[in-house]
Amino acid sequence: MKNIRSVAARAAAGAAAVSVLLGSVAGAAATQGSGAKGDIDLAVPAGATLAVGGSSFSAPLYTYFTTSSSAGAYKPTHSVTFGTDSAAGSGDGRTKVTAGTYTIGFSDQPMDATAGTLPTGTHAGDLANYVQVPWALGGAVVGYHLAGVSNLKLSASVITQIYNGKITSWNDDQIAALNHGVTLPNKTILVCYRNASSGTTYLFTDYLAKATQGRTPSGASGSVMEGTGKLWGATNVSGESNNAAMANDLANTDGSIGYLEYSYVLANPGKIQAAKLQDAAGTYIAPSLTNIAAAATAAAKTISASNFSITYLASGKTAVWPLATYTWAILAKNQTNAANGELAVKFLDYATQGGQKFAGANGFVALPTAVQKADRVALLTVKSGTKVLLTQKA
Amino acid sequence: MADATTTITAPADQPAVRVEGRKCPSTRSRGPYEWTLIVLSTLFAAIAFWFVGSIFFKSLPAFHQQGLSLITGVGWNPTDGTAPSQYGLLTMIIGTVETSAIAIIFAVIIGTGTSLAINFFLPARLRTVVATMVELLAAIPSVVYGIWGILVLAPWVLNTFGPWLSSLPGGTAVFGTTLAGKSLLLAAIVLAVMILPTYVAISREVIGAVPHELVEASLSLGATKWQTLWRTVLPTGRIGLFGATSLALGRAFGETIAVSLLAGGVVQTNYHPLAEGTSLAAFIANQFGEAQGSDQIPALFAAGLVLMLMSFAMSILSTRLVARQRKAAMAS
Amino acid sequence: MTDLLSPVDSEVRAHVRERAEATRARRQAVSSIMTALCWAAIAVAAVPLVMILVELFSKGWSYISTSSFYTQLPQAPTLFSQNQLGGISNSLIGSLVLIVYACLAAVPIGIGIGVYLAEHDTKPAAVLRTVTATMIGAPSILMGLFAYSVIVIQFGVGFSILAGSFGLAVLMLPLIASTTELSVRNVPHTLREAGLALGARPSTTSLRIVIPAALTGIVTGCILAISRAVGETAVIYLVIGGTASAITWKPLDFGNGLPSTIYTDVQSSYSSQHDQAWGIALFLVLVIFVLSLAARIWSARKQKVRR
Repeated sequence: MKNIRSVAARAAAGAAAVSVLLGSVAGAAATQGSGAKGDIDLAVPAGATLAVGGSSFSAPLYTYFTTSSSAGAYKPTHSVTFGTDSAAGSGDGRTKVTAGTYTIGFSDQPMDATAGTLPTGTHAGDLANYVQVPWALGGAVVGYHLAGVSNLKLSASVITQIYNGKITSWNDDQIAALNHGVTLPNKTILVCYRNASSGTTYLFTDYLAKATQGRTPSGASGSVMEGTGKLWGATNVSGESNNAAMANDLANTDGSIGYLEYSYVLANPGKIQAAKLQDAAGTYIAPSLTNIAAAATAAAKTISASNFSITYLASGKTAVWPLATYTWAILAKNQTNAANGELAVKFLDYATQGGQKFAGANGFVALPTAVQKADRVALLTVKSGTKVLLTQKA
Repeated sequence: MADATTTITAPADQPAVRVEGRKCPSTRSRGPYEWTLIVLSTLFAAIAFWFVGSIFFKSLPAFHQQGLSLITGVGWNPTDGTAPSQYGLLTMIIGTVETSAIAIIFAVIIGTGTSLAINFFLPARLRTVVATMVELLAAIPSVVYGIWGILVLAPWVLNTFGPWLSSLPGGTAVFGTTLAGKSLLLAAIVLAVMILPTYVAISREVIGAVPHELVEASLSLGATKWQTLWRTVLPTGRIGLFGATSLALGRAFGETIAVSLLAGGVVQTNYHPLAEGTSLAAFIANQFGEAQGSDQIPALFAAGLVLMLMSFAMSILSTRLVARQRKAAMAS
Repeated sequence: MTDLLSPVDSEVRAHVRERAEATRARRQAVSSIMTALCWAAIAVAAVPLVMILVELFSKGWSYISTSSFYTQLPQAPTLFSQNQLGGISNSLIGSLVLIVYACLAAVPIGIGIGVYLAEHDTKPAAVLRTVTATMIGAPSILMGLFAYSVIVIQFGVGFSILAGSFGLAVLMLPLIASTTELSVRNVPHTLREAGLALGARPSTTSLRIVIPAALTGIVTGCILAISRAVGETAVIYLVIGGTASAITWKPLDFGNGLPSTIYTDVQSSYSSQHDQAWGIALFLVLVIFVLSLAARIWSARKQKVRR
């Protein structure tokens, strides 16, 4: 009940982050594409432009929707111009949507005062001016590149020691102990991590912290971190500016380890392997859309901007991927440019409703229905002046 | 005086000739023309002081929060708000000095040799062509050198050079078996390539300006060609060469884009040239877009302040030294 | 010679000659080795630079020789459609607009300062001269920080083309000022004296005689400052906002510039975007070469005409 109270408090404070009580929201549900009266009208004014960017975790999916040649591209009746920037991270998404550079900023963490994810110059009170919707569901994986070795099993403790420089070679006894029968080469480990604010780093360190009872990522006061972080102890390291750069380096460097969004592994078959991680019951599982989806189902009943994490929460549940997360879209509640604002909300409505059927092909999991409903409720609160921008068919 | 590089050094290297009796024309009356110039100049002075002031004041909160450990500490740790953030610039300062130092050593050795060869060994007809080419190369933007480094050199280090190092006897012990493509050394080498044309453009002129009589006198006394160059030409041009060095060094200090692409941008205590690291300028560019919270931007401005002080100190030092050497040269 | 040294024993003389021969041989050897090293230095210096030019042309040419490169907006590739690209029209116009606004401010102010510095040998002028020299040496990322703190934050303009132009203008100002000062100083003062002797006021002399005479150098300086600014990445990357999806000339809009597009393209994981970065780089380098060569040739010809 505490969650419901906090939701109520949030609503009273005017914060517009979506709070979804799974299974209990009766929203303006409507299926996409029937063209019936009352459906969302996806047509937008001519000449609208949409600048989006941020999270490289969710970039594979949003660039898929903004790319006119892809099967699942958002196709409103009028031609629109998309400006997408996939060479950044979540911090960029939050900073530039509050600065106004992006109409929609993508971030793996919503903006939240207590989580330290407020961009410079934004205050807790300003949150009421933004709508934050969980718009996609995906998983991160621990990726590695080691010639001749696949299906490697890694425990959170081993990963922590690798990142802290305690384990420096692939044929370390602790790795060998987890992988009986696998011939591990005597090769130095190149530890890749993100060198700036990153939602994927947050997900990764959150997982390590929870799986090792907070003794990560480095030393006594180690905690979840999103930035370059406390010093990782490892010294043979490579800094990466985004998921794409991470994928690039992993794919090209034999002996490397890193963490990245699942679809980047799918896009580099044979070059990047995903390590098997332990589920809550201690069984090693390989990432799949099924067990990422299971994470969402098994997670806590509530997601909101301050309680959205589904990592490792499905305690005791088997076959649940430990590194799954919702990823968020952030936009201003009051759009100064009506045409662009209309395009933004309609694009997001498409992305969270009709577009979700393309999620699987891009390495993501379709949103649960309750989240879809809540997203639409939230998007309906986006206005330009007094005009609601998510219009319905007459 | 037709290219940017020579123009830049000119004030330090060869002060415009002051002619006696050419007094400021404004002593009698100040018309609108005079006033316009004065207003524009004041405006520029104001901008310059505002420039220094804004970077200084913007960085104050970071010094206030971190104290001196901002300079002497290591780490870049914005927190989730539950604990105070911790920022330390030592990695970036060392990275800046390390990359610039390696780069300037390469550039000065190769650049001086190149300038001597251009002036004394190259046929006169080729000389102007080469000179023009060098000056054009000096104008290539640093981002171009950066993409060459990251798209051509880094993969080469990764796939060819790194494995070769590891295959050397004892190589595995020293270098490990998995080198990242990016490294401080790679950044330094690209920096060297980048500042080389800048250095050569000036040192070529400096060496070309050494009076021919001196060279001929030295040769006629039986000195070999190299003795002449080493004992006569280089000492005569040392003031100018020093100016060229400090200008090239200044460029290496402040280089942002190439280093940000090539050094890896990581904050750590392993300063091995083959390890990844970062520099002050590169770190600002890497972090700026992603900076969150109220304390990260001031800390980045503090990095800017340190960089500014380093570059100003360099510029003052070189002006002083050049002036002193010039005085000494005139006295002798 | 030898007769004059009569008391010297012939053995000693032979020994001395031998020693001298040996020294000469060693000196000659050293000299030829060092000469060879100087030649090697040229080769070492040339190899990477030639490599860069070869890469630029071989990878970039196919992009800059198609019209869609200049006319289309960019299209980001996706994981499963990695080769789509579009063009760079927004960055192209963006760079142009950035430079034009920067010039509007930097050219008149810079020339003004330069003329002031050239005509005054006073204390304030000396200070200003030092300031100019120091600003020329300041790392360009600091101009980006300056533009951020002043335009983006202090004036509340936000990320914008204006902020980028401001940063570039601060970068260009001291360059233009110092070239202008030199050109004005290089005007023979007999010209100025002639003007004054004819009874013209100092301001008239400056405006009508000295500045026109120095114009070649001033214009050359401006062109070179532009060619420096056009390739400047760090300044604009921090403050222009990027990701402009449309072509715009409005100073308060977010912008995109060619160098910053190279910088983001090269950090993408798609090789198609890497190749496009080569294309933009080649275009940029050609523009800068043309600007520098034009300035050079023009100023050389003008000088010839004057003589």
